[in-house]
Amino acid sequence: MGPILIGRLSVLCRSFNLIMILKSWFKKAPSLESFDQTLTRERLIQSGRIILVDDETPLLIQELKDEGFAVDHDLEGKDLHNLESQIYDLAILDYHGVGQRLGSSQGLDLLKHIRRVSPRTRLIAYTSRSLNAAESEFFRLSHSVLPKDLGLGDSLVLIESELRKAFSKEHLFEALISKLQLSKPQDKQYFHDALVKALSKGDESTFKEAITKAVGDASQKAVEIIISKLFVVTT
Amino acid sequence: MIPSFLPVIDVMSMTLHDGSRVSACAFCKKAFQSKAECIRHYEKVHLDPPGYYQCPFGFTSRSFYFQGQMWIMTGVVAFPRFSTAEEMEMGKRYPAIKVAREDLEKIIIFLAELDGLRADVIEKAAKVFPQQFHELRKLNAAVLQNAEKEIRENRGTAALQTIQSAAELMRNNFDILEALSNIDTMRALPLDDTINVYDLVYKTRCVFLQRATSRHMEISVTGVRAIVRGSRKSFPIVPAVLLENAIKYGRSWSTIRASVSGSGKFMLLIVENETDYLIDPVTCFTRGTRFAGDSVEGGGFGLFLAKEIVLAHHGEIRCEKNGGTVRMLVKMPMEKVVPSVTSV
Repeated sequence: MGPILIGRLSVLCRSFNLIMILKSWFKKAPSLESFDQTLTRERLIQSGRIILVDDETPLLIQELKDEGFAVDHDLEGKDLHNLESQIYDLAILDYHGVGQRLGSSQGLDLLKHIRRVSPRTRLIAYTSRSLNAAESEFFRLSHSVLPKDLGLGDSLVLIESELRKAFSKEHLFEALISKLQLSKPQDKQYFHDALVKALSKGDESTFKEAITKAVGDASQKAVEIIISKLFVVTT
Repeated sequence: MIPSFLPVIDVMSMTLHDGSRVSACAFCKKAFQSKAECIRHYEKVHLDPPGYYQCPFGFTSRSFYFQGQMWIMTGVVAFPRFSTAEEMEMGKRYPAIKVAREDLEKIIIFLAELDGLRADVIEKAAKVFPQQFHELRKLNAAVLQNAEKEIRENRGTAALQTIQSAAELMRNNFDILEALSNIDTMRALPLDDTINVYDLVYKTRCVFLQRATSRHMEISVTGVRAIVRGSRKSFPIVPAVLLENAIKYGRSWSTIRASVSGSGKFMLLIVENETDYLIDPVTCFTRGTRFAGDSVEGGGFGLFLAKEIVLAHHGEIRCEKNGGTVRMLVKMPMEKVVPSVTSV
């Protein structure tokens, strides 16, 4: 009786092990979203840096300041240095009367410039003006549209939501891919997997090494900023 | 209709209109209604370049373009003539239709100038109106946001709340006008915002409550807090149009019922009301369709726009009518349902 029972138990154990191995094979890799920490509103306000580019001074600026947000107001979109240094998590851009230094399409040219130099910055198109079909690119290329005549409370909700997205791993990863100018899906998948692995271990240097190995240089300042944001603990 | 002293044919609709000075003669009117060769003549003129042609019965036809479409002045005998027997006979039978080609040309020049002026006005308006519209929206924003601030800082009165609601109502109207004037721009809006449909419908209810009360109607909102992805700029137009229509076309002393439910991957918004109007559930989404004649204000654009917005959000909208009950159903891909079920 004894040896039979032991034999059956060992078969059961082996089956269980097999199931566990199969489970681990088919286990879905964690998504980048699963590494996002819950950001309290206070922490969001402390961490977020916003620029509002508008040739007028809307009530919204004071409202944001009253709520404790760090907001810079640029009347023309002239302060390209700060934008290029990627210091902003969120840019709220008017269409008319700004960005003339960059081209005739005003706010649209400024928006395109920020997308290129600071892809980690979330972009809100801030206008209540009717835009024609050509100008509507301004809406299409932004992350969200905030009409100027929206209530202050609703405006804050939208801004906070965009600011929260600015800290999300998924958004920062997309910004990194854009900065590294990687267009092949397999390259993107490779870095996605490498990032998930590195985030699981909290190992920033391994991820940097993976980038250096693949693209040659990870020390580019713009890339470094995004990587450091990806590994920052924000709770 | 085209301004003309002489009889003129609208080629698009193939209708004959009398001129303000000269009417089409009885023969011409009858032939236009019953003679196949008459219609064939005008169809041929339509395809030929603008100029003078003679109809099979001897009348002079002068085709020309106005506002981008062809028109034909006809039913007259114009000098210099084609000098045919039919023309001579018509001239004798209807002396009142005898005119000079020179006068026809003057009318065409006048219409061309009018067309040019109209184009100039439209061009100027295209520049001025958006700017003025923008200024109005800015003014409305100042009213809305200052009222909101005052209310929040406990200096609010019932009057201020009325002002805030009115400004929000005004913003809805501005959004509708803007979206209608440029559907392509509306379609270009990013759809990445998080929208809590229940909260949005509840807020829209607050905006329209006063209007509903003025018609002795109530608005109930029930359901779950379903979250969808979309544009916070365009999507709020959908519940605004549905509730506004329910108030406009609904029966006084009745209740409008709005409900939000979530099932699987979809959110369903239903707005239901009682009505006395004969609303067609199929054609109600067609631009310019109206069911209430002049008794209710509106251009028949709201539901057309709501449909465009729902389609741009990868959703579906349909209308059901059962006796005097009209139900508008909006189905959208849903992200999740957040806790806290409430009903008002």
